[in-house]
Amino acid sequence: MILAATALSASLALAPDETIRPEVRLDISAAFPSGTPGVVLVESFSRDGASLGRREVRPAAKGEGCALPAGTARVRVSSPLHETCEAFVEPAKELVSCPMAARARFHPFGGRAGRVWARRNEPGAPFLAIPPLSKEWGGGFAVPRGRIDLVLAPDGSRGSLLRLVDAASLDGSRQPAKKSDPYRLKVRFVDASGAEMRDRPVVKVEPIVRPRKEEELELAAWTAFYERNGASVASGVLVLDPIPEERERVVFNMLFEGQPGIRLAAAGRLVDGVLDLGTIRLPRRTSLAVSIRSGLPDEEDTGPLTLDLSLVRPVPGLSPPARAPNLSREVRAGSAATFDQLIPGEYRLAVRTPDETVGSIEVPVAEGNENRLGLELTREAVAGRVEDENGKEIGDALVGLMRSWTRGRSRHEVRTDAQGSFRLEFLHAGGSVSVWTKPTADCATVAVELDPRGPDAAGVALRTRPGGISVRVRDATTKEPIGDARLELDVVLVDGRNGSMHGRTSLPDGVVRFCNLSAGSVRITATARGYEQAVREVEVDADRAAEVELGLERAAQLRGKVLGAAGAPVPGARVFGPLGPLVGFEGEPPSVVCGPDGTFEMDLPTGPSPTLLAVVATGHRLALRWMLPSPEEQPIFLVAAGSDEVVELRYADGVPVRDAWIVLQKDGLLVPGAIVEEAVSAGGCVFEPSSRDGFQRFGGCVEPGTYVLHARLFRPGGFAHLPLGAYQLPLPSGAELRSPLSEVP
Amino acid sequence: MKLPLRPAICVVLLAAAFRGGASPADGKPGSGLGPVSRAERPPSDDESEASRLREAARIEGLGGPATVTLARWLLSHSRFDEALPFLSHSCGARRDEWSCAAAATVHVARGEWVPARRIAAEYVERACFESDRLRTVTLLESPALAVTAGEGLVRLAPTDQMSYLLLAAAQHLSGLEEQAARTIAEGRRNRRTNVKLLESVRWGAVRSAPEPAP
Repeated sequence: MILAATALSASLALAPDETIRPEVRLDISAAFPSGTPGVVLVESFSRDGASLGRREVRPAAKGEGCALPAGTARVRVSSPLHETCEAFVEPAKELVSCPMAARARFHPFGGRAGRVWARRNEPGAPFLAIPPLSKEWGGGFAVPRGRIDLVLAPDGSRGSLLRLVDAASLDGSRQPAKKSDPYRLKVRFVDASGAEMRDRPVVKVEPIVRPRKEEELELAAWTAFYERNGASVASGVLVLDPIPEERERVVFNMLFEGQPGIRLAAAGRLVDGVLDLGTIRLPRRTSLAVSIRSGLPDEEDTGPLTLDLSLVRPVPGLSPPARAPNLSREVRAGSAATFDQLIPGEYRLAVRTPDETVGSIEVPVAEGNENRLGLELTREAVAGRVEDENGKEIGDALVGLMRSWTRGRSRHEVRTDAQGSFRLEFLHAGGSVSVWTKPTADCATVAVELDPRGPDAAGVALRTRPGGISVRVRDATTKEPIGDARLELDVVLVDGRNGSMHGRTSLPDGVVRFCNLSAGSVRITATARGYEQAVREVEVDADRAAEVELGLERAAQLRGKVLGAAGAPVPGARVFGPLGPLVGFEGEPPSVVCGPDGTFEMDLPTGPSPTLLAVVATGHRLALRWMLPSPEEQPIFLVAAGSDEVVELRYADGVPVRDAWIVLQKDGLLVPGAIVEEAVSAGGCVFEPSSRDGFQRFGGCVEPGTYVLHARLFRPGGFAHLPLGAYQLPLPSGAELRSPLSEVP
Repeated sequence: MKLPLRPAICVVLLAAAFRGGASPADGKPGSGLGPVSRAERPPSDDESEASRLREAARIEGLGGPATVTLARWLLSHSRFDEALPFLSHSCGARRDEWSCAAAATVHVARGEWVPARRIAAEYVERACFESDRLRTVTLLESPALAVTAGEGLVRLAPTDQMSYLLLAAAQHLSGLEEQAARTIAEGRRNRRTNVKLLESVRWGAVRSAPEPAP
């Protein structure tokens, strides 16, 4: 650090014609590098904010201070080397003190020239160009204190962004950035008519591959930088100066008002040391005209039709507009509708009557205004037969109709007759449909996709496959069949498709058969009340059914009672468990509901490790507890909603700690954060990244006890864990924990 | 009926891709940029390199990383017919984006639109990663839209010969023969090394390779 400090207290004498209140003096305490002039700029303001004058002040002698003009209510003292100091004149005081904190001064480019931008490391903080210090001030750059983002752009090199620099740690003898590739990007945009685009686009920097968290933050910082400083348009040419290091791993997304975003990579021809991407044409906005006529008898009125157009994805190199136009139109059969201001891409048009979706059509929408789609609303029929792998008919099989990308159960479902035949009738406006059958509840579906107006519609053959699996579930000790085991199959087929199926055993044999599977691997998960879960993976052949036997071990029982803060039972509380050790899970875990006296019973895995349970009850915070099975009734206390514990996290220099999570540990076990979505939305237990003010809020998830708290922070290369000490939770109402971090990790 | 892709499968395939030594950027749109892509590294001209790779592919089994390397070597020597089976194995077994894109563009260069579209459609429907190149192949059925897509490809991967080839194909199918020829020429200019795919184009005004012997 160059700041060879010489502490001075400045004093000055005002001109004789000014009214002086000798009792109000300004004491400036500032440090200057040796050999530089100790000059600061003092500006005085009246009570109504009007400036009373400004002047450069060169401290004359230590400890004398300077007199302020009459009527001064506020004073601002600044210098290129210091943080600006503002102080208020209090009526009863004779001395106004302004200690000036020195800024970090550094020479990032060695002896070469360059430019520097900086911003405070806060969301939305603007980048400000830092003027170089004159020789008189010792050269280099002086940057604000605290944690800052820096952009360094040495002349002749590309720019580099340094995130999360603690200004106090800046080294004045920093090595100059390597001179390497050209650092400027130049591109000229023309609209569809060839006219130059003169508006400055919003430039977003995006990664090519999914970024790590810190990369995401860095790219967001570049976007903020271009928004403020880095993008200029002159004579129709956009210049990005500088551009990030490793630019081959990012794309620039240029967003012009009212236009689709243009995505481009920074790779192209070099012209005079500048990366020149040449001229890029912005694609035309386009439109789609949809006409629909009725092929139904005159007396049949379907009512209004709704056309919903949705962008599946824009073509490569474009991104969707920030404001999507309204893509829904109401028409009647025999009329037309136009969607305009569309960006080129792949769309899907759904045609709906008030009752159902009657068409789902993929529509490529190209540039220009020639996109037309003619639809006809007709009544169609699909007929066919359901048969097994030997060609024998299957009667009473469920057959249904499905359209791509439409939600919900099909309204068109029938059962086959004794000959295995079926016929489905439905309204149709276009697109293909899938006809499926599920011969029995335990069989996988068979489906074919077809055009209902095509030749195949009259003779659809739905044939089951011989592949299948037969699962027998027994008590592992007694070998008796278990008649109420629930089986869940995750089916991963050879062709990469997957699905899941469910079944339940019944006595006397405890067997479930799943049929109509194609070759692939199957994971079987068996659960039964009073037993531990069992999982087995088997391979299924396409041409025969496999047989599997699962033996379930008896589970241990947990008896518990859910109690409110005052010790009163909480009837109706829902206890989820056992839960995995980590936050989040697929699907809803098993659960039980507490009885009127707050008690519950649950099967838990045997063994020495405790199991995690979650308790959800109206008016209470989500509770998470590690528990062991026991025949004794164990209490679980809930905390009323609305009570928070708060931790304030600040670095030693007072800067709030952001992007940090609080981690709680009790008896050597982590207390998980978010758990069940509904509980979170009810104000549950989420240890969020610290908010802007540096406070972490959590609460209600913990039962009374002593906890060890850690802060978990994102840092380049991984996480940093900082111990915050042990605390007794919950805290008394309104209390806060203050845990200043002593060091910057 | 389309079943949703299972994330676990994608994880397995992704792991397989990394075991094969692929860079995280491979198989991503724009991954043909500069030194990021494997496809940009000039392969050795030595014929013994091919023998070595054939042996490695035999030991490893078709579809492994050696298969991709061998296919790349064959492509760089304009031995497209030999390369196609290896590309198909790698595309089918590992859903390797580069292999699928290379196989599809070999067919595109020959004007064999149906197999090109089949390869691309299978990838787009089933693979875990998006692929701008293969999506553009599927869009060749709507040439006007494919032209816009091809222009986007060239913006995103201006050093990838496949970008120029697919843009030129879209222009050719739109009847813009002159522009297609310009695109191929620009591709050859921007790619100073391997332009074998661009040289193999056999349609329209940009026809640059001899017809195969009958």
